[in-house]
Amino acid sequence: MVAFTQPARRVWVLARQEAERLQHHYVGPEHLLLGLLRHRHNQAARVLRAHGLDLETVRGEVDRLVARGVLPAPRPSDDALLASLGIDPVAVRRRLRESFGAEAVDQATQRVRTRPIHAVAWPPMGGTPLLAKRVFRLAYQEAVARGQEVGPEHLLLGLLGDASEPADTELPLDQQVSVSLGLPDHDHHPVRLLAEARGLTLAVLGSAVRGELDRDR
Amino acid sequence: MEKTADREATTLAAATSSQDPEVGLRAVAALRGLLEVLEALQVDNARAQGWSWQDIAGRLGVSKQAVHQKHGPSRRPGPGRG
Repeated sequence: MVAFTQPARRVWVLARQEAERLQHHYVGPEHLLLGLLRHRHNQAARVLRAHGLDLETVRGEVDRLVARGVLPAPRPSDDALLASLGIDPVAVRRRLRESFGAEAVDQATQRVRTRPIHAVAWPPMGGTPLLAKRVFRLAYQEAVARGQEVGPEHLLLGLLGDASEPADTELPLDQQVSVSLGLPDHDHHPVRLLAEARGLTLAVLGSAVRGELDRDR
Repeated sequence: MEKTADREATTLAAATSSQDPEVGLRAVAALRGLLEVLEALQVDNARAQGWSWQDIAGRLGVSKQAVHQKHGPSRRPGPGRG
């Protein structure tokens, strides 16, 4: 990933915190949206707030999506499940890295995920999966097209672009991981659903962000 | 995240050995994920040290065919996904 602005990096940290708060063991578009709003001082958050999407409202909509089963209910992490069996996954990972090297552990993890038989969608060595790769790809394109670094505004455009396209078939592994994380296999993009729940369209939000970006050029 | 895991584990400790399939099955899946990575690492290491598939299978307590099928060279090409 190329050149993220300081605010965009902060949004990413906040998005991870939102995922943790919801006991979601992945980072998805809904968490990035919450991250943008928690950061507050960026144009993306201002556009969202101007359209009635403030932090409390969006958190409420996310809770409703959880209640409807569109997003996963809180669930224990793999690490917590292993710890409940008396296994210390942190110590196991540390020892494996010490004995075999971090690279060998990563390669073995990657192979276990992608091999044709006995694959495990997301082994507990894999860190937190990012289920928003297309968001970042689109954000990056938006930034490059304007000769800018990736900021919160481009992340929001990435989110809106991702939400307005059908499920990403370029990333079949993401689909597999989604199912293992308890995400229903669906086309119901959380960002689109919660925008629509507030009577907004993705296009309206998108042109508002573009308006801000282009006015500043 | 790791502190959270500790806290969760305390509340889960009873649940896992209890009869709640929701938690019990997920714990098994997490354990399998860990096991599979561990096995892949050890098999790679054994191969790098010149062990035969036959010997590896013997130590793992499975057939040579099974271990070769799972870890043998006929893997899907390259990483670059996910």
